[in-house]
Amino acid sequence: MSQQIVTHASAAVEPAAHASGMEHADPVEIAALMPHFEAVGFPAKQVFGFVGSVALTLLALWVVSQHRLPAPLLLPAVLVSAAVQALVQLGSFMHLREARGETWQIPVLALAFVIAAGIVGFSFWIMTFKSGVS
Amino acid sequence: MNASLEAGQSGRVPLEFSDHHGALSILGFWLFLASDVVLFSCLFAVYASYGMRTAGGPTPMQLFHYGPALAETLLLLCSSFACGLCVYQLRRRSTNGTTAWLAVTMLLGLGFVAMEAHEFASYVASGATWHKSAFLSAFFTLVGTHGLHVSFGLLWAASLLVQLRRHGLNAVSARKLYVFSLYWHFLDIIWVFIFSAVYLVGRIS
Repeated sequence: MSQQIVTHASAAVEPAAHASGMEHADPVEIAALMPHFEAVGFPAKQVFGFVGSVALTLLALWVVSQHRLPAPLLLPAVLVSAAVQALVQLGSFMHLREARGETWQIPVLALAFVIAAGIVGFSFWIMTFKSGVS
Repeated sequence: MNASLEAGQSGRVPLEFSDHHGALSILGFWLFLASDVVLFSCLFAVYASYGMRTAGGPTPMQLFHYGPALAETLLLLCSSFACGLCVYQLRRRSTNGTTAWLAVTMLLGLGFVAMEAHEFASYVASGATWHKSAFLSAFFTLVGTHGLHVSFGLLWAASLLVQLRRHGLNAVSARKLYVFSLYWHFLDIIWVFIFSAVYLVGRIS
């Protein structure tokens, strides 16, 4: 499996490697972290990210300002819409899958998001215990 | 230099990744961004804990208004989009296109910083300083840290503009531009959470 991927990766990088006089193509051992360079066509991803972000921003604003949801649902709805928009921008604006070799930024970022969610979530949770401090 | 330029033009490995050390620098910058995610998460945790502790001072509901918050959001989003188009022009090897979109990115970013400075100044003028309450301390620390990041990014972009005019597009300037674009898009993602968790949530209860 891994051998097959290495061959595939070398095949993909080889023309560039030859042109630049590089001796080695980039080895890739983990298929899920296979890099992918974005094409130079019409910047459709950027336009999608922009339109999607504007739409999500206006939607969240409309829901809150017009009270379009029951009060207890407003806070989760706003946070979910923010998380979705963050993923849209991460996927469309940031060249997440570009790298030489494996795209190590993806597992590292995932870990950072887990830590961030833990810090925010557990801080919020522990402050709901109002017995000690207020 | 010529050899690596050709490598990019063949469409496989872009200019900014043509040098192995440069590609490693880009990964290093991703690691910095991951650490910045954790930094901002601590400030968000503080705000989530103290956002309602107004100590008799102004509440989020009294302080925040939809108009300025939305304007700042759209300015920074357009700036982030312009930065994406800057990297798109970089991939097309258009020095003029890259320079022009970088300038647009900076102008919109400058508009954002100016609006935020005006917003902060108006709060302070109305007596809502960061000494007033835990809510205001947390607010100014969180939003101010983001504002400082953006301000630093503007200085960074200005230095890139000078380097582009002087040296044109090469493996080094392309890598610097690419890393700046990651930083800029990242700051807009942080702002999405500030807009939602601070300004929108502040208007809920």
